[in-house]
Amino acid sequence: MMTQWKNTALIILLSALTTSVYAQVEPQVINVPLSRPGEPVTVNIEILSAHIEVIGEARDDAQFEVSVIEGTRKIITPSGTKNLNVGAYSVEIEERDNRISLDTDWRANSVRVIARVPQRADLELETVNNGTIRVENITGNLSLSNVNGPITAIGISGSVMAESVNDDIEVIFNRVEGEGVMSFFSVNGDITLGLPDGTGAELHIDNAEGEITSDFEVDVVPSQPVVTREDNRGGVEVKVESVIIAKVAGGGTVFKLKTLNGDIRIRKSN
Amino acid sequence: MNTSSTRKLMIALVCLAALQLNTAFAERVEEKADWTERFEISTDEPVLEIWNIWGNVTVLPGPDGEISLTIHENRSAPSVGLFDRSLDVYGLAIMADEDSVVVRVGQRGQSWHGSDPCRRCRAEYQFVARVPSNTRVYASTVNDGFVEISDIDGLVSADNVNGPVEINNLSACESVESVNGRVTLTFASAPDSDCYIETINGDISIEVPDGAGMDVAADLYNGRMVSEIPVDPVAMPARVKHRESGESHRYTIEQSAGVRLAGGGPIFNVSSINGDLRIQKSK
Repeated sequence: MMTQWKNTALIILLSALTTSVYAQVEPQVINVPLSRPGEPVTVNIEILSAHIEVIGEARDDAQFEVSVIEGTRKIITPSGTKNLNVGAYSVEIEERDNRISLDTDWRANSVRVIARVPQRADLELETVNNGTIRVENITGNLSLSNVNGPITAIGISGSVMAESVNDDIEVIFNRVEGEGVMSFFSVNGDITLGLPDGTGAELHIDNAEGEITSDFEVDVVPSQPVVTREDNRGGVEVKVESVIIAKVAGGGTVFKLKTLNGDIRIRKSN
Repeated sequence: MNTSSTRKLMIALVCLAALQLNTAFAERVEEKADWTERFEISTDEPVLEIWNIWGNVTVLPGPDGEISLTIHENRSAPSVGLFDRSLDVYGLAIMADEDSVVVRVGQRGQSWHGSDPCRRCRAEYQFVARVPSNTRVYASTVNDGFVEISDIDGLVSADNVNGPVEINNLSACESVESVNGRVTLTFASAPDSDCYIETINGDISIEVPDGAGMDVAADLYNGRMVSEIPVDPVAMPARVKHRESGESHRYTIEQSAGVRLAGGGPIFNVSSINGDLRIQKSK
């Protein structure tokens, strides 16, 4: 009990210190008109350390709310070194032919981007450290990549490729579109896939340590290990992959679900 | 080839090189001149502009009602033909009326990109201007020189490319820039107007009297910020810009790091890629 109390106190203290040093700045809001209003957009956001949130709405433009959490710029004064609430940085948003990209310079220590875009959108979102990716209400093709943070995509109609090395992936579909393969890959995180009732799917499940649970009845198909051979300059690489193939509602779109240390959960999204 | 032949060949080559060097120097045309010009000024708000290319620009306070210019000229070119051409390409133009004196080396709007219009020509000018202390001053040079302005009460703008800018006992500045040199500003009293200061590779030093209020919006990439004067962190407003280029639209948010001195005052926007920013007490 005592240890638990001490841990709680330590967490509160650390949170207070973090808040004072990394004070968040008022967000800047930029409305970006589109070259072709009413048509689908492509949004590309790749930031080293960021919370990236993209929300699909019934609108003909895009709105970006950008704030930067800073703490690295310092000034040396007679009374010692002081952290400045806001460090210098620049953020650039470019729109060309309905393709929007957002980029920051290296001084933007940790960025928070909330993008409100037309519902029909293809997304390419990527972050690495202390970041999260969240997508809501989008119809299109999503490519989502994180390294040390979670990926959450809710209310998706279309296709998704999602990869997070050390955190969870949760993708909830309103509707599955396209005949292509979708892929969900993590090393240390759980994977949650939500499918509407009645969706035909072929699940290729590969996990070493975690549990696999499903809200759907599945037909497990006997499968053979897949052996691939690749000739490289340094020699030959032979891979043997053994996956569980499970069909939902007679099969359909292929979902590759792979995690080394996490659980895999297939649930009903409606 | 034996040793004797090698020695003869070496001697011949050295003689040839010496001959060529001698010819090059012998043909170079050079003229020097020193003179002073005085211009009567009848306005209460005189203006001085000096746009130099090679050499120093010094601006000092002088008597009211007059702007005087002491000019040292050192013009040279590889040949007589190019020397004559240099008078056109790098000519000195002085335009004066009762309000202002404008001094310009070179053609106005001359492009420095592409071919050199007068190869190996050089028109070096050292300017010392004496102006009424309330004069509005623009001073600029490019190579092999400094810009130094002292004891001027009027608004000052100054820039250099490959040398320093030093402004002493300043009252108000508008913009001060140097690409590869340091910028030093010393204020006689508390600044009373906003100022923009930028370098790429030079340190920036701002000296203000103790108790002078100002806000500094610093946009530094690799440099440090050091202050001898107590400062408080302050959130500066971000600058949002929109540029249209062909079919693309770019929106930029630029945020500076802010510090406040003595309760705040005019805003100094300071920008540097590799330079430090030092805020110091006036001595």
